[in-house]
Amino acid sequence: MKTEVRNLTRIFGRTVAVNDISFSFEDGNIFGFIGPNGAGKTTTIRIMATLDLATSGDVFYDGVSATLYPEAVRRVVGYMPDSLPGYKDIQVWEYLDFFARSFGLKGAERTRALNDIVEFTNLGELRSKFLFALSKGMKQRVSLARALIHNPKVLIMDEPAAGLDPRARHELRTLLKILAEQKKAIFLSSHILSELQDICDGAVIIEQGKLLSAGTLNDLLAQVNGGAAPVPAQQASGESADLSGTPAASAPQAVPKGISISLKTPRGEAEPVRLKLLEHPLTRSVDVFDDDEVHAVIEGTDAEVSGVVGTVFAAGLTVLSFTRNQMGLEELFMKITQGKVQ
Amino acid sequence: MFGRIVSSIGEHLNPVFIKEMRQYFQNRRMIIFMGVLLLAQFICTLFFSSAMAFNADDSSGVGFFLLIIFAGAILSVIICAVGAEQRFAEERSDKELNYAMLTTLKPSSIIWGKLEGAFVMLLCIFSMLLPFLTAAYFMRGLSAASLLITLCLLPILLLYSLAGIFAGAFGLKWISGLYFAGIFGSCLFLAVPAFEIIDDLMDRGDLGSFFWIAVLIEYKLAFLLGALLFLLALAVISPPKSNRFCAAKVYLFALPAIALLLMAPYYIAVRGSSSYPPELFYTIEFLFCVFSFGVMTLVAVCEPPVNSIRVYMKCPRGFFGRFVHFLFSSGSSGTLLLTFPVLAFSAALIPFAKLSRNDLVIFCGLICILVSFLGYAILALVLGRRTRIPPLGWLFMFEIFSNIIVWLPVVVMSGSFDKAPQPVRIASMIFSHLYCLVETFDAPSTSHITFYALGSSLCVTAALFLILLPDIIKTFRGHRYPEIEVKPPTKEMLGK
Repeated sequence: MKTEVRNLTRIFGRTVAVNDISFSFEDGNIFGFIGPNGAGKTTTIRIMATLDLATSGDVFYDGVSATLYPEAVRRVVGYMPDSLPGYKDIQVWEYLDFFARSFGLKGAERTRALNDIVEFTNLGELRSKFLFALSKGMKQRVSLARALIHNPKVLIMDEPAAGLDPRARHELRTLLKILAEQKKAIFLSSHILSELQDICDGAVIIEQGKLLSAGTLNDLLAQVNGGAAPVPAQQASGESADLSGTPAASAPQAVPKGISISLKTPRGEAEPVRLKLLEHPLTRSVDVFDDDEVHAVIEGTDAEVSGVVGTVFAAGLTVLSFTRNQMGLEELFMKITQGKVQ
Repeated sequence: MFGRIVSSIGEHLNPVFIKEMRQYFQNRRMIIFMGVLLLAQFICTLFFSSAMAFNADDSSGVGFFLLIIFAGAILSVIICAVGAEQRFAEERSDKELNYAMLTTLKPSSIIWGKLEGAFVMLLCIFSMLLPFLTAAYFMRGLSAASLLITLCLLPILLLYSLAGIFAGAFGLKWISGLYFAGIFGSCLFLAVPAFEIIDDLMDRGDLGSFFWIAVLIEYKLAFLLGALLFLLALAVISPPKSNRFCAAKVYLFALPAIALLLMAPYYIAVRGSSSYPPELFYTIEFLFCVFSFGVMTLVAVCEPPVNSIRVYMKCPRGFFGRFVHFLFSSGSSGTLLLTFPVLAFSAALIPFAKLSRNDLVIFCGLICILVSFLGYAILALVLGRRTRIPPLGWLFMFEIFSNIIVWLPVVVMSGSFDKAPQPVRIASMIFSHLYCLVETFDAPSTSHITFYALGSSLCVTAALFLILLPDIIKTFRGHRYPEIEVKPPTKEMLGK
């Protein structure tokens, strides 16, 4: 199932919460939705889940409009919000049974769906417990079970790992990987970017309601590790950024190639290294940190970078260690967002 | 076997009802309340029984009966009405309602399920009272028929529960506060006269036809008001920019006709009786029209000024169908147009409802209030579309200022209403509903003033409507089926 967010805009009074964003993704993959607080993530997710209506633009599931056919879309979309189940005087089993009935599941089909989801989310021992007696992690599992009870093809999750301990986060990651293997499309927002990097196939980055970058994770990281911030994938052209991995859609636009490296020197000997590196025409930038560390961005292939570093050794300068910098999602996020809030 | 029957019945029940029943019976507070009621009744039974043994009072059963009914009514209000409001408000604030709305459940199923839950709980509470009512019967002083008086409480309690569901649908604390104040106030207000009536009926022993007609009217009124509360609650919880007010608008527009239909059997049954002249039925019909008009005008002011594509997608393509859709769909400005026929129908009833010239003045005064209220609503809509203050805010401001600022100077200036100059009195009647009401009931001395005021308010309101008319025409022009290419949902998406 292809999920397509097309020119989505949501305005609250004078605040443009979401500003003409477009992207798409397909099933069998996990996509991260990243942005600072107040970037418009939850608003976008609520519109995708048919809880809110866009001021303009729309979300399509296999071409079917979420604005015009919300009831139909709800059958194929599961939504796990950032809030936890709120009922107090109801048991886990009864809670899930209510949602199964609400999705029209009857008799044996409902019992089977309930048993399957309880087993999948490991809620077996908790099924007779009241919701108020559950810990946050357990409630998150109940929330996930509720979102999956009708076996949706697309799972939309808003901050699913927020407040979870490392073990619960690990369990959630495992569940998400299994769901992706079951050919479900998973779209999740999270602030724990290191976690997203481990499980996501692609990411969408927004700030102040505008889409900053979108693409497969490899492409995004390649852009940054190449030394330049990713260029907004579609804002300029108005076309949708495809996160499903097609090279044409997610290719960076005119990004200069470059490799970021770090050289560790004895204290006080970083400056000659910096000057030597700057002499080379392939060097784009060089910075010195703490008198003993040099960061440089060098344009060219791996072999060419080795050649540049070789000139430092050839000049007789002392280099204690030499590493190629691999920028992660967190660095990517910090590099391309400015932390502005609307 | 029994379990299988229960589960097969359960398959056909509303999921919300099942959830509500589970919550009711697993709620500690409710179990404690029930326990306390049972214990209190048991103690009262012992007390009354022993008192009767010492003092052979023939009417001891009546006192005991009233006590039980009182306790049952209080418990029902707490558990069913306040409980329904609290639970629904919590669901709103916990966002649980949002998640239920993301299923294939319709908003009407949610409200209906909650109402069913409250009703079944009401029946449970009254079933709990049954053994004690039987004991009261054996204490003497009660006829078996008089026990049926309990039935009078059911529609009122159910109405309280529906009002609770309506108030809870907003999920706002200040509305919950208003609801509690309303419940508390109405209980205080109604309890004494209600128990006086019940006591009086007990003394008579025989309930008679008057009682049954009164009960039927009570049920009818509860049904009509309950249906409106149901539809308004539905409008509150419906998804954003859906056609949320449509059902309520259709109902309000049809309310005079529904009331007429429900009144017809009474009219036929008491035809020719001097106690029930036909004018009485026309007056009741007039009051229904006034109610329908008032609520419809408020809906017109509360509606958002723009419509969504979800509403337009249901719009017929022909002109007539489009116009009807425009009138009844949510956010179309059509509600205001719907008030005109209701107002005209109310006015048309006056010749049939009046018994004397005094009545004519009173009816005209009431119509004057309706017309000036409509005028305020139109003005609020005009200003609401041009400023950042919503129309409802403007309407509140007008009502408060006109009824306090305009009316008070008249009183201060003249010392009494009658001494004020005539033009001031006419203007005050147009601008202040309260003053208009006072003047109207001062008939026949003020009849000519009332007629002047009615004529003037009609002119002012018509002028205001002409200001709003271009906006309405513009909205109607945009109210059409959007010519866009739409891919329909697949069978899987439709659950087939």
